[in-house]
Amino acid sequence: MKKLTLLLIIASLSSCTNLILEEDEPNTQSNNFEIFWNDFDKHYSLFTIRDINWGELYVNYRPQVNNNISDEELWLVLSNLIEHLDDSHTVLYDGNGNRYRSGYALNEQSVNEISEGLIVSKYLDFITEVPSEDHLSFGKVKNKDIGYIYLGTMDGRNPSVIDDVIDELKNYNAIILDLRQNTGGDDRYSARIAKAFSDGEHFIYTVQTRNGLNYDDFDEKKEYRTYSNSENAYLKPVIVLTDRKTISAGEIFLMHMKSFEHVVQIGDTTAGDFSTVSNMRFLPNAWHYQYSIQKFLLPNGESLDGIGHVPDVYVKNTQADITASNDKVLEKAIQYLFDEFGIE
Amino acid sequence: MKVSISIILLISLLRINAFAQESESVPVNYWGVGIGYSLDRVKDINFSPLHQKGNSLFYSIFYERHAENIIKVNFKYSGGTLKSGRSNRLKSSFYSPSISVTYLKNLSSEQQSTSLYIGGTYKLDILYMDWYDQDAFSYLSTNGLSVSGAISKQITSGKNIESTISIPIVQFLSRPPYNGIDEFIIENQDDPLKIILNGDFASFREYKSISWNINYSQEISSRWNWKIDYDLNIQRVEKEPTFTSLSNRISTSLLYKF
Repeated sequence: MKKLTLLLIIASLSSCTNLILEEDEPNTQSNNFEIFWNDFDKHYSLFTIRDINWGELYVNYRPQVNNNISDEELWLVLSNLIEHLDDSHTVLYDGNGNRYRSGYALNEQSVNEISEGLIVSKYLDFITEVPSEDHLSFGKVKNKDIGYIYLGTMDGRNPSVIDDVIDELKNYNAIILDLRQNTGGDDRYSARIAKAFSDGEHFIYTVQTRNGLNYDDFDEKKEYRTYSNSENAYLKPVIVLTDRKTISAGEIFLMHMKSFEHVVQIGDTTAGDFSTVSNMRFLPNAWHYQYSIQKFLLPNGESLDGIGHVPDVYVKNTQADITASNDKVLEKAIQYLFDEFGIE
Repeated sequence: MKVSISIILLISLLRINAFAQESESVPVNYWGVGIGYSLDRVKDINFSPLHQKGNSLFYSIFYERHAENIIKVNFKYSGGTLKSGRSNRLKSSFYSPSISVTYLKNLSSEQQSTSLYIGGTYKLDILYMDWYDQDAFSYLSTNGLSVSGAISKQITSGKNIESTISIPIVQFLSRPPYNGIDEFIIENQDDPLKIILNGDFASFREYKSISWNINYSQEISSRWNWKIDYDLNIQRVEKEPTFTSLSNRISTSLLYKF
């Protein structure tokens, strides 16, 4: 009898799940919308900076959702909702290979405005890939006293390898550092790469993470500075090439580089998406999404989120330029080095 | 540092009472290994608005010293998969190690078949959840002292039933920040232990937990005992991001007596 009582007590305790954990979120279209909207409302960091009236968007979009709409209709509503943010760090995934990235049209278009094959065949004497890193290679511009570096991501394993690259290129009178299509990655990687070009320590930006229910609740500002000048830093003219898809940690890299006197940015305005992205967030229907959770400010308090780095010299390729085997951005950089510094 | 303070407090308590007990009775020591099955439910708002449900094997290695009073040292590890969302399409990994040291002082005045104990437990408990190579992650780490009470009854010679309940009194709690990630986590992402053990003192209002164990042990030879345990553990973090977990565990273990 005692054993039976004990077993009953154990069975009762193990079945008290619903007393301790409230009911799980229902998988209805309305609830998926509510969770999605509310999660952004509580955590997204850039409503004020990007001048978004999130409450007004709720009023506009909530009536479009009821429990009878299809998944495709809900997908369209949520995609349209986040498009207002114009923030390509905000992405919705359906878990079946489909995704919608907010404000990504120009970024996507720029994919066809550069050609690696064209750069290598028409403009470079040679190109050497750095085996330990993804999308890091270097070479020399044909018939010019100019080195060339392509850096397509900030997600590598060993950023200090840039010192070896600079050692290879140090005798050239200028370097063109091609940051077009840079997909971002780790801000620390960006800082370390930039160290190879540092002319001294500069206060470049602050970072704050949203930490409360109000749109302007943020933690303490954390200040970031460039590395101080090192013995082997490359201090001759450096042209950084950018396009609309130079994003995130690629733009953080530009924060560093543009604080140096000998660096000039040529190309198109960058994406304007600086924040670290959130952890992946989940909906009951198994869709998932991410968004920005921080704000980056320049030392003067201004934000480049939604604006991007505006180049010192604006020029961009069209798809027709690439088809005609012309990279006007790279050509402009070469011309600029000749016009401004007499380097050829 | 916070871990160290708790450990020093507990060791001091153990030393005082261990010396006291040695003069009173001959201790019996046990080394044991166990394996069990765990049914877990987690709701971690930092990780997901959805319940995470899983079951997994867990393993334990432990030492017990039974005299008039009892000392227990226990290391447990479990890991597996949690599921959530439509048709359990969202699957996450979880890893949960814990280590605890318990001292139980016998309150019974003389040798009786039923004994009551009261004492304390120091426990370091970690739960780490990871979705798709850290695209989403969350954690709960607690370490500190709990007050423990136990009752033990000898059913017949060589057969014993024991139940222990523990409630935290001083706990350091480590949870992700409001938005899951902040500059501290980004800067220390290569040193996960530094992140997971970066706790603050949690008030009883902020963190509540209860652990209940009931076990039956039986002597199977002069050197070996066999034990079966049921554990119920409930944890609740009230401050944002909130966290609730419920774990039911049943396990069996073999103990070497010396």
